[in-house]
Amino acid sequence: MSALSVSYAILFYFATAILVGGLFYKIRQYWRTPAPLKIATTPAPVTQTGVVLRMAREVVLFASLFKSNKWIWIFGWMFHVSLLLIVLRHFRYFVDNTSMIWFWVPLIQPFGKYAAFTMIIGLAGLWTRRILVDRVRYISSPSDHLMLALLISIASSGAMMKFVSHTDIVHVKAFISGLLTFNIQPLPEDPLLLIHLGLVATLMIIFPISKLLHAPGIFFSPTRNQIDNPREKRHLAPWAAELEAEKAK
Amino acid sequence: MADFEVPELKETVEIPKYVDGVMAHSAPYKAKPQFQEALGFPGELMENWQQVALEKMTDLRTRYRSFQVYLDACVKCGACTDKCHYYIGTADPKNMPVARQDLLRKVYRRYFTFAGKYFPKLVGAVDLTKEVLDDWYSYYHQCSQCRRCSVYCPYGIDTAEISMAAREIMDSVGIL
Ligand code: HEM
Ligand code: SF4
Ligand code: SF4
Repeated sequence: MSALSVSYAILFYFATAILVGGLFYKIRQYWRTPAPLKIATTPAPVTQTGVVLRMAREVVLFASLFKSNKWIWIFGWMFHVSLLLIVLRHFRYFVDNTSMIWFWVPLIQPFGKYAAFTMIIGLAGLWTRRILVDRVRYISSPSDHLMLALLISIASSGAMMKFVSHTDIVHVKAFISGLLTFNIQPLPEDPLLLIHLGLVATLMIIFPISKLLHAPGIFFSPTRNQIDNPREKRHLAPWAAELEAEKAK
Repeated sequence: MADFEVPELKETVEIPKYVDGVMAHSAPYKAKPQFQEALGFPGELMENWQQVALEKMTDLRTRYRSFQVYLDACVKCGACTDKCHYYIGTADPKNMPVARQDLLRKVYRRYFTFAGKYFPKLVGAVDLTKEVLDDWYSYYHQCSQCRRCSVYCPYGIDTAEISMAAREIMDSVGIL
């Protein structure tokens, strides 16, 4: 086995451990921290079903963003939907296509294929705003620019392999199946592929230590996930209840 | 008095280009030490105020999910930048909701996140200095905690939660 294949295998095990471990740690932290104040932004749903629908509207359609800024919404939504399609398309490297439950993987291929372009357009639009709009430029730090550069590079190197210079995907799939069964297989030594995979591993590593935490974070946002029923049902966090009990003594 | 241009009222709101520092001078008068002490606060800026402030930040982060999630989740999309009336009225960039939050977030990042500890410049993290504290005192008191920005943020990030926390931290180090 070449040293290169082994290093990439180690890199991906490491990146997966950081991604999974890091997200687990952050989600547990959000989960365990009490939310003492009833602060749903009104008009807010008054039932649990309503909250689920509100959250779905936010996650699927970016409803609040739509109200607030049409340009960010268009580019941002285009980028995220494309990203989703592309991630789903990549399932073909991970699953056994003879099994029934993966019937949708072949169906999604053409959509995932062209999503590369909409993803790049969306990201380029967001980046243009970040550079041209004075207010957005003011709030950006180097990491905000680099994040967009990283995602654009991943999308372009991927699109290059699809539309310009094909890589040997049969061996790529063998390499990934090998990773999944802890039986390392050779990775094709195609520079584009190596760049693409290296950048993806980087993205996985920085995910739990960067602003990409907005993805789990949105589900824990008290202004969006609370039922608006402060009069019907008293809202009391454990530490607030303790304070109250102490006072009553 | 600082140079200050009163914006003209037009049919539709015009979002001003930002002008650095126009409202930096504006801050409330500090309460007298004896009034602060009566409320259980130190009354004057403590010797080891940095340490106390950071401890208070951790205390609040572990008691308020809103505070912890909002410090992490902002993607700097800019959707809230033109939504605060204090920004529209003054053009001071630190009155943009996200920039107001960042006054605290950049300190959070410096002391409590991997990226901020090891690559502060990359993520805009800074040490907790007297200048930062002065900025807090000025700009966290220029937020009316109206929560308008929270309506427009894709994650509902509520600057009022952040400025409440900042004021609590400032109380605890003796600048009420
Ligand atoms: C639950 C899933 C997710 C939701 C609801 C979500 C939602 C959003 C929203 C509303 C924005 C602000 C608008 C914009 O700038 O596009 C945003 C920004 C962003 N998202 Fe996500 N996102 C999710 C997952 C992800 C994932 C998995 C990634 C990357 C791997 C990602 C990368 C980004 C980046 C880089 C930005 C900032 C764009 C900029 O710099 O302007 N998001 N996200
Ligand atoms: S709208 Fe929300 S996520 Fe976007 S910059 Fe403002 S606070 Fe951050
Ligand atoms: S809560 Fe504060 S920052 Fe947000 S819009 Fe109101 S005054 Fe501005």
